[in-house]
Amino acid sequence: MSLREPPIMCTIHNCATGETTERELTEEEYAQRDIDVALAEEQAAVMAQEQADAAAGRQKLFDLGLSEAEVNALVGPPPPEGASDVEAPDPA
Amino acid sequence: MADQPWVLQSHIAQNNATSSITFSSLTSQYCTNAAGTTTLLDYSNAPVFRIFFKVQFQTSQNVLGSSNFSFHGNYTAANDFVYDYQSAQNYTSMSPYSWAGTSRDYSYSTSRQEVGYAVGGSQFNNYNWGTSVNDLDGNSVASNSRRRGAWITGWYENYFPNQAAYYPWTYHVGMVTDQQMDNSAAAPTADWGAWGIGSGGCTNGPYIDTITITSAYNFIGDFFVFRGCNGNHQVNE
Repeated sequence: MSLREPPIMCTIHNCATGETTERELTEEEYAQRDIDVALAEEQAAVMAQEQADAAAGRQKLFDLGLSEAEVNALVGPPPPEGASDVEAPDPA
Repeated sequence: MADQPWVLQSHIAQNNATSSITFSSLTSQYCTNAAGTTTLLDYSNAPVFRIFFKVQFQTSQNVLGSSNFSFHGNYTAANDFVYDYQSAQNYTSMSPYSWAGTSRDYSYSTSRQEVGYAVGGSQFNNYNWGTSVNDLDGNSVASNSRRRGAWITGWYENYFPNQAAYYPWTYHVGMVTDQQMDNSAAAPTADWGAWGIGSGGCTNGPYIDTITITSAYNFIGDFFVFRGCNGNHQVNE
């Protein structure tokens, strides 16, 4: 009986014996993983907000009449386009 | 051929999705030279730990949090690290006494070495040649298939010659993939990727016979653990 569905596994390789075992996370490991996932989501949100702030700041410089070359010289090139994808569900 | 100083201590082909991989008893294994003499891979005989790997994170998120990919030795406390990275959404820079966008700018952990900003998810819809392709047999291969997932490659290294010293890490990870392969003369759109280099260590213990690589997303991959010895202790096969 799994603690969660689907169960989340971990892999342990004993280098002395060459034996590899896979098992489900324990309750404590699940709890730590939940903390890790929440923290990672928080970090990704911070990064996304920084991205939005940077884009808004660049636009304000353009609105002041600066050229793209001038804006790039001032604050660097625009960040690469990236966005979280929500179409494909995460198996994990 | 002459004996060599490097030992391939372990190789794991992780085809089942897992959340972490732990190498244990790293200093309890023996290597053998051409004469049949065995040498224990302990700290004094084999002070270098070098792990080469490639992984796919089973997520469609192309931007990962820093704690989404991490590793540590025996201890999940008293760790320290810094890394510089270019993520899928942020340019970063580092110079003496100043930094922008590196790990210091966000949540920092002393429990492990975190490198999640330096990698990306492997199943993002908008890279790896579009959302839908067919293989030679006419089968549709989804963008989140393992056959099309983006690989992250990297290495972690530690030099730890004795048990009375701080053990240091150095590492380098990254990924890049094309957004669209349209067979045209247009320039490639290799926008999708991230990389990072870092260093760190741990003052706990110190002891390092166990190394754990973990992620908040399940992953698959290949992992090679090499040990560097202080002499030619391994037969060159």
